[in-house]
Amino acid sequence: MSKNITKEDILADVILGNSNILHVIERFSIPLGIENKTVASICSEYEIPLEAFITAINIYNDTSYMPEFKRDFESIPGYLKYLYLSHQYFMGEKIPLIQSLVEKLLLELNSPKASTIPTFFSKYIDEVTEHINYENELVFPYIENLYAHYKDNIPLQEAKAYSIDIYGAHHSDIEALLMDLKNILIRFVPYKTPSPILRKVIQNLFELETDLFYHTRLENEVLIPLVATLEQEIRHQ
Amino acid sequence: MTTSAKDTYNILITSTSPIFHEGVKALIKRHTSQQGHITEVNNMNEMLHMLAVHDYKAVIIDNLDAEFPTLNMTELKFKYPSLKLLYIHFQTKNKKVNDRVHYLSHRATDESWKAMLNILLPSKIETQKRKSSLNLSQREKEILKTLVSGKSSKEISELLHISLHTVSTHRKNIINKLGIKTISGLTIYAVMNDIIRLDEMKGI
Repeated sequence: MSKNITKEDILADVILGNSNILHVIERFSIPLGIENKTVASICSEYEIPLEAFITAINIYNDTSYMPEFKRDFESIPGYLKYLYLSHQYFMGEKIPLIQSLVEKLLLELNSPKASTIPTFFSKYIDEVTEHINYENELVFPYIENLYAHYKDNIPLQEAKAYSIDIYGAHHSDIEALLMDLKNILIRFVPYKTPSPILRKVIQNLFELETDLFYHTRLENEVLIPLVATLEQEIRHQ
Repeated sequence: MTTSAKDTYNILITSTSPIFHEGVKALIKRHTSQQGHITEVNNMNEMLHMLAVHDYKAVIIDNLDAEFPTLNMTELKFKYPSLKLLYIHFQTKNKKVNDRVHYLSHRATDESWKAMLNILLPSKIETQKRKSSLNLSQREKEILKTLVSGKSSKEISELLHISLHTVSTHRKNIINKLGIKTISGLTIYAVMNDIIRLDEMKGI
């Protein structure tokens, strides 16, 4: 749809073109008040790996963007930090927000049968939490260790005996749950008049889904291939 | 997640002509509101490389271009069994060779493109198939109740004296009718529609 965002683009205009990018800059720890600064100058000012930042904003900007493979191992810490902060956002802000809306919805529905909805959402939260903990506690430290070994010859923690291809499969159950919830709330909860609370729940689910979609793209299409390449190079040493 | 949940499409366009690329992209964007990826290549090697490395639903090939002789279909057919191919060519006839290989004239109308993209993209086939009546049959309701009670297909077939195959067919029909894929989701539907009571759910 749009052309790729490059380092010469003015970041303020990029954001004005697509509000999703606000999440990206926050997760790279870039504060607003960015005047007419270019992507390049902001990355330099805040010491952010340029390639990682550009890849991330392009993924969030255009679904048809296909990241080209770049052997930029130095971007790995940047991606990891981004993903950690994304997780904090999901668990600390977005999901609690939806949860509180669901509680209000339950009050509004005022029916014992409707308790199935918060029960469902709790199950969803459990799955997401488990997945995020898995990444935070197993996958990312593994990658950090791998990179530290590559860069500073820190010893590999063989005890973790892990390889990056195990990691790819987890995402789809979580997506199916989210899709089902959206579908149910739109089709099967009969109201006589419009409910703003229901609308807010659904809107937030859409936003969460989109955010997770881009988040997963970054993991699957950028980080994993990069780490797989790093693993290979280390093994051949 | 590669393609999956969001029903995104993934299309590869092969041509040496920028006009071809821009034109095909514009047609795709015009005829679908789905999200998706379009990759553009301008030579055969790159095309084969991309096919090997990524998962594509369809390839659109510029047959107007002498650079791309009609490919060896057999090899692609075996290597990528679910890949659809669309050739754009000089002749004025549109043609369908089989479910996976199609030809469109470069003069094909907008309507032809719309129809073609309906075939190429993992479109709303699901919604088209979905029956407009959301009424589950009595049997389907019985099956749904057993599903959300946590019974396995084998247990259900024994309980209702039907074959495993029948259970599976019913299950697919229910999922198709409702558009709900997870057991947790089916549970909400079942409770809200009095197919199972909350107290029957306890202890599951």
